[in-house]
Amino acid sequence: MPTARRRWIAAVIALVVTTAARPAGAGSFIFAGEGNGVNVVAHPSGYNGSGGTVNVTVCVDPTSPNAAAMEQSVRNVVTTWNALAAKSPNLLFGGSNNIGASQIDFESTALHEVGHCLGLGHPNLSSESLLTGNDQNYTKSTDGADNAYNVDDGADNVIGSSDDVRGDDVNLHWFRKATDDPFTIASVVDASTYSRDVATLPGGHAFPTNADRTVAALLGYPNTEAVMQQGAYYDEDQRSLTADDVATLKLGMSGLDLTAGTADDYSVTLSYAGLTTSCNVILDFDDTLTGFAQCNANGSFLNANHIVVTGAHLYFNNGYDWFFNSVVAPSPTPTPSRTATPTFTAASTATITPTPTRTVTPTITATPTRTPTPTLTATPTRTATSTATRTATPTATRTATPTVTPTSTATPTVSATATRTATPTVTATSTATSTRTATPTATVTPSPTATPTATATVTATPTQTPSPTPTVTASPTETPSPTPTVTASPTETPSPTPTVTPTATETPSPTPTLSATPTVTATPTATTTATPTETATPTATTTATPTETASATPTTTTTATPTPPASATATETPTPRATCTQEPPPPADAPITAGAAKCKRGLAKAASKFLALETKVVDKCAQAVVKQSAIGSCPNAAASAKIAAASGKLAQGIAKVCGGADKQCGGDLTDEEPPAGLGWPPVCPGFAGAADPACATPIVDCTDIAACIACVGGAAVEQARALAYDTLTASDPSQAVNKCQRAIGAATARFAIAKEQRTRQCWDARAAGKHTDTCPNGAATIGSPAQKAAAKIAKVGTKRIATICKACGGADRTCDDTVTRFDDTPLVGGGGSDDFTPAAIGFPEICPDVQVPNAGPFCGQPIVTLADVIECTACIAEHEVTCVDRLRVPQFSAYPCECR
Amino acid sequence: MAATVVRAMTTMLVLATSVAAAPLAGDVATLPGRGAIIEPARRSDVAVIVYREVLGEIGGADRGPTLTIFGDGRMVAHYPRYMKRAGDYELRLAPSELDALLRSLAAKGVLDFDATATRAATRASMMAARQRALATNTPIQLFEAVDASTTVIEVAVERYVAATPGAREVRNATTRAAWTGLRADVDQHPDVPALRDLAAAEQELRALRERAGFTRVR
Repeated sequence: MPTARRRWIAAVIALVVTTAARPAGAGSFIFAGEGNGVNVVAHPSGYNGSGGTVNVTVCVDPTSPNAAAMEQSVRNVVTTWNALAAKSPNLLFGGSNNIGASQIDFESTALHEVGHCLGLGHPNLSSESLLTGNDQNYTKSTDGADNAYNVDDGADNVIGSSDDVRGDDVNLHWFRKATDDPFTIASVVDASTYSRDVATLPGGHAFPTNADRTVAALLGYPNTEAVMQQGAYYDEDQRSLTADDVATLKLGMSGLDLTAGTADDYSVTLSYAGLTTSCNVILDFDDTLTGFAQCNANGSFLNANHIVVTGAHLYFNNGYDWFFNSVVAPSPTPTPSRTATPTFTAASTATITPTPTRTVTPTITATPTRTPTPTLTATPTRTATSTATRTATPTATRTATPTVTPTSTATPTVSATATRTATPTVTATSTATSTRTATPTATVTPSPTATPTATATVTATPTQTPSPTPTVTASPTETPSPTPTVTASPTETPSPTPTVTPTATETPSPTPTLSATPTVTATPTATTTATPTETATPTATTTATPTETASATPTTTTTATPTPPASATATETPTPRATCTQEPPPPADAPITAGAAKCKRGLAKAASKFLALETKVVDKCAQAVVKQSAIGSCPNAAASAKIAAASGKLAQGIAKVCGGADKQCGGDLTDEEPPAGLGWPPVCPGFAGAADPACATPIVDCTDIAACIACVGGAAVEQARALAYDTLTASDPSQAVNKCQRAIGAATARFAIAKEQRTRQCWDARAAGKHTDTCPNGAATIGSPAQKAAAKIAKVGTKRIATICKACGGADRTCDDTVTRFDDTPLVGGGGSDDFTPAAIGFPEICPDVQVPNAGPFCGQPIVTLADVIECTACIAEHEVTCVDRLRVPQFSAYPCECR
Repeated sequence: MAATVVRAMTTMLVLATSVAAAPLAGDVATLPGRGAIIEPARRSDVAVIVYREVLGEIGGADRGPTLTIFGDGRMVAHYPRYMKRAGDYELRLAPSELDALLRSLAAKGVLDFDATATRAATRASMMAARQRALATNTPIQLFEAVDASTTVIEVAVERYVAATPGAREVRNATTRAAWTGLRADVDQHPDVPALRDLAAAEQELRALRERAGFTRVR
């Protein structure tokens, strides 16, 4: 063994001996860390230090569950990594993707795991740090000499950003030296432009920025996160790479010397090997080997700082509600800095593959095979008298709003989620280059003046990059001869089945200058794949404005009149989220005591008081923390003591009215109505999302009722508090944003209390026999308790919105956008763009996805604007108040299934 | 908001303030559960055993399935909404079964799991493998399980005395054993008994979670 090699092997062993590192720590490259060295760069399987192409084969174990279902997603993953195209935004949620509400996207997960198998690690500390919660999102590092991660999110209070203070932690994340912006990429990626050394950070940066979604929002890249950042969510499509992913792989591709343009550089080409186990990266579902998904990678040293992956196995667990995307991914355009506007997210993919060679004869024949409805008709009339050379560079912009019709029109096969609704708009831009060559001896079919034997060859090479809003630009160049024959056979594979019927008009004039309108004269062959439940009615609109120049004097007129400028309107019916089934009202026993009615009303009143007090106490605590007059989490000790006292009063209050002769729950049961007689179930029903399963305790007497109300009420109040306060961006109390943050929480708490009390009064009136409506009910008879309650609740709802808009709406003290009150009444915004953004406030990107009781809406919508913040908090408050309200009046309404 | 976070891999021991903190024995090679004194709370509102699989690549709050066993024997298996079995399921253990389970976990070292010592043992195992490679002039074989789940087992007891000689009595304590990539590390380091035992404990709890008879409660 060479001395040098022995030396670094010894050094590697010494690393293990002298550090306290765990055996293997992932970094921006896997294997990097204290154990193997912080400068380690990992390379894909097959790299040996020499330049060239590294071919990595990816396959699916044929014996694996879901083997067939995996295949298309794996193909897509291969396509995406091969393209190395960076995209922002790259996160699609909810109705913007084709994934079910509770499903996990297999393709997104596989994209991440395959990245590991190529040698990429996590940009963030991730779970292997054994830190918890958001602390895992700090930039990847070792824990330093003190064997403890030092995590301080700095002045901006955003974890993973450039002002994080990390003590002696040693950075492992390679960053762009010029900007430390992981959402951009340098034109040359190597050690001259990227570094791991924090000393080379731009001025003012304390630690490298990572590509976490929160950091992205801070830097102005909404809904963007590196694929390699650990942390996938259900109902999330992350099928495109970001600049950070691309840059890290490219850094490795600069070879052992980390210098681009030298002999050891390599490129990586992935290929899908099919259902086999003979490949470099094997995918397999095996519940015994993983809890969810993981990449088991083997490696060996190339030298002290370079490791090559020698084999990798991806394991997935089959216990999850996986979504297997069957839509063919487009080949992304490797444009690192491209930004797409995600208006189309229905997992559609369109690939146009025009036949590169056209033969032009006097008769143009268009043969559209993909159009379900439209038929491309070319009616060319061309007269050529001499040799014509024509150059056309048309540009076509096509906009399609497809409607997918599953069984009928879709020519081939439409694959899409059956239950999802979306109305995507597809705008594609393709580039086509066609060259046409005609011989003077063309025979023009219909045209009498044409010289017969002309031959034209048209080569079209359109490239379409469908993005959420794809645009197709075609730039063909033609050199036709007098007797052209055009045969175009492009193949387009769009999804969710847009049917494009291009309008091609070619008008070669006898003069050298020809003007043709269409560019997409290609006769497309569309392949559409759709799941049976979708309906596609594609309508595509194609507009091309080519400019042709012909050097000939023929009387050639070519007119291709493909059926109408296609415009497709696709309506995708989104998969409705699973809804629960309401239970019938509990079969309440007939009351056996005279005091049952009084007990019910007194119980509801005591519950109302308790909930109001708890809401106030918790909000007051949270307000103090935001205002920085208190620290810690809420409820703190003081608040907890108050809540405990209130809980005691609740129990006493209920015992007083429901405890019978001795005014004690249990004990002497004389005149004490059993819970069943009051309409209560035998077990406390709990609350959706409550962390404490202890709510589900048996209800034996009225003490248990009090405990149930306190438990469920506490969980509901906590849900609302957590939404309003847990993710807030820390701010100085003197700042306007701080006031805004407090206003959101306080106004919402006041609203919840008011709604709860109005509702309780309405039920009380019903208990007194004054009406029979459900409370509240805006459609009830005007002046009735239910209608009046609804009106008052609407009023306080309006006041809540006004309060928040005033505090958060910027200089004009109004919300920019229209806010829809929970009863669907729109409150028109004041316009402008000076609202505090959700990111500035510190609000989750997605509202918690609970469903408002009694088949109400799901709250889980993306939060992009202040209006979204207001509507989300209203939705959660609606859920909270309605659940606790219905809990205490079981005699009138079953506990909604959405609350469980 | 400065905070220094100590590696969470170390066993966490939370003691009641009235009880002097006493370090538990940490010999990873012993099985101190046999003959140990273990007294859990018998109340229905006290979680005696919590077994969690914290999934590596999953983000958000609810990051994996959980099995919670209360002092009265009630077991609640929770599966997040993105799992096929999404929901909460209940089944009851007899008191004798709960006692046997606690003893079994103690015998597997869960109540005395010392992550620092175990980490040192795996490091020694890896070092030995590398030195063997150097001696035989063969390439060092590296392995990494990226995104592997973290196994967390927490046990709360009112009274515990390990079976090891001289072990001190501990009252009102919650022990926490956590390890990332347990399954893979057991394969990689079969010579580290603590990992093997912890994996066996996890397997026992997983089997319990999968036991027939659970009833969905929400």
